[in-house]
Amino acid sequence: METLADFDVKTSVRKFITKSIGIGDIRDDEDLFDSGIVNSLFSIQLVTFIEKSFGLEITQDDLDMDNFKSVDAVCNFVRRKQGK
Amino acid sequence: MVGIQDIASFFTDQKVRTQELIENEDMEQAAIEYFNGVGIYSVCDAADYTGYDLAKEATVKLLQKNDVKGTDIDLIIYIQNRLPQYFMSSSAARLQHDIEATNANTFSLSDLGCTDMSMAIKLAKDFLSANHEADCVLISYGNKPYAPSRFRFPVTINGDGGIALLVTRTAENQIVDVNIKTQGKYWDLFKVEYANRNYAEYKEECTSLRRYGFELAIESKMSFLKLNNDVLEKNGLTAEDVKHYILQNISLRAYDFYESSMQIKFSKACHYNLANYGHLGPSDVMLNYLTGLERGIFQKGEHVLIMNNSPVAAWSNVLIQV
Repeated sequence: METLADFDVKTSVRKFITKSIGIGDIRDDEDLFDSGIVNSLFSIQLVTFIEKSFGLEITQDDLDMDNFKSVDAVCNFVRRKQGK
Repeated sequence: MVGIQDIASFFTDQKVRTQELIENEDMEQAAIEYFNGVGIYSVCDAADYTGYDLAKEATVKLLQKNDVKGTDIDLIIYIQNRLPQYFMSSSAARLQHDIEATNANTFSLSDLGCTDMSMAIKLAKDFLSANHEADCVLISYGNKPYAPSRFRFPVTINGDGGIALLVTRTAENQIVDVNIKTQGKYWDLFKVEYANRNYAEYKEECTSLRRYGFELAIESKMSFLKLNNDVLEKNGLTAEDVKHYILQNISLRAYDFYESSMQIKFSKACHYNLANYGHLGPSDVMLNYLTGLERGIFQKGEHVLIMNNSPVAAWSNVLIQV
């Protein structure tokens, strides 16, 4: 079940991504990198956003695109890193 | 003190507008868009000159300009082309022979892509530091495409040109520090299958656009941040002490990427050479440094931090005091 905290994470992640790519209508499971709508600069911005917004340190071991490819993937990654 | 005494470049007169190159390419829309935004407007086409020829021409020009004889050279570091003219022969020994560097030792360096130049500078500096009787190291390289297409999607457009530099005991362009980090897991991110194929069939392949655009991009930023912070700390400097940053000439997007993510600004010498010569492999950073000197962008005593990386993958920086 999605908690209020999970909902806040998802809202925050979705807001950042849609604002960054300038497209308001993306599915939570849509693969951003497969669709070709993002580039390497977005990758850096996304990682920086996650670190700052959720107080996490992303290490080289975390650099698997499956952790960052969609809104859902980012939320799951944040939850795992937060130990939830 | 070990520094770069001088640098010479060599280009033939034949220039090609990159827009003309696209006409013969069979490209998908994403590639066309990348091509049009890469920021390279022309490249030199050296026609029948081989990579070796370009390296040698730059070397001869450099030696004449500095009144250095072949016999004055103690070590030649020849940066090998991705596609050498011959198998089994030695381009490094050929250069030694052609410039009559009879007192030198010679060897080739390869496989780190653009970062070969940083490794060559490091080896030159370390060689002179370890051998007090030696005074002069020559580094030489000529860039030619290793496949019929000059376009490397999603990276850059290759041009032709030669570069040579003399590393000697001089107070000019002091090599303050050189740092290199390699990462083996990207060894085949880019490759050209060549066995049992004709040259016309050679085609560079990016085996994973996703890894290139995500994992490698982020790892590159992290690696450069660490390398740059470490080199400043090690040498008692702060970011404010670095007056100019240089990167190899890949694309406007590459400049934007590092400028945005690292809060730095690359010298306009980089932008000028990117637009006019395209990507020249390991030559780029030294061509940019030379342009910075010749155009008065770099002033005596200033620190220049050269960042140089390759998707194989390797990252490096070279700190120079003009």
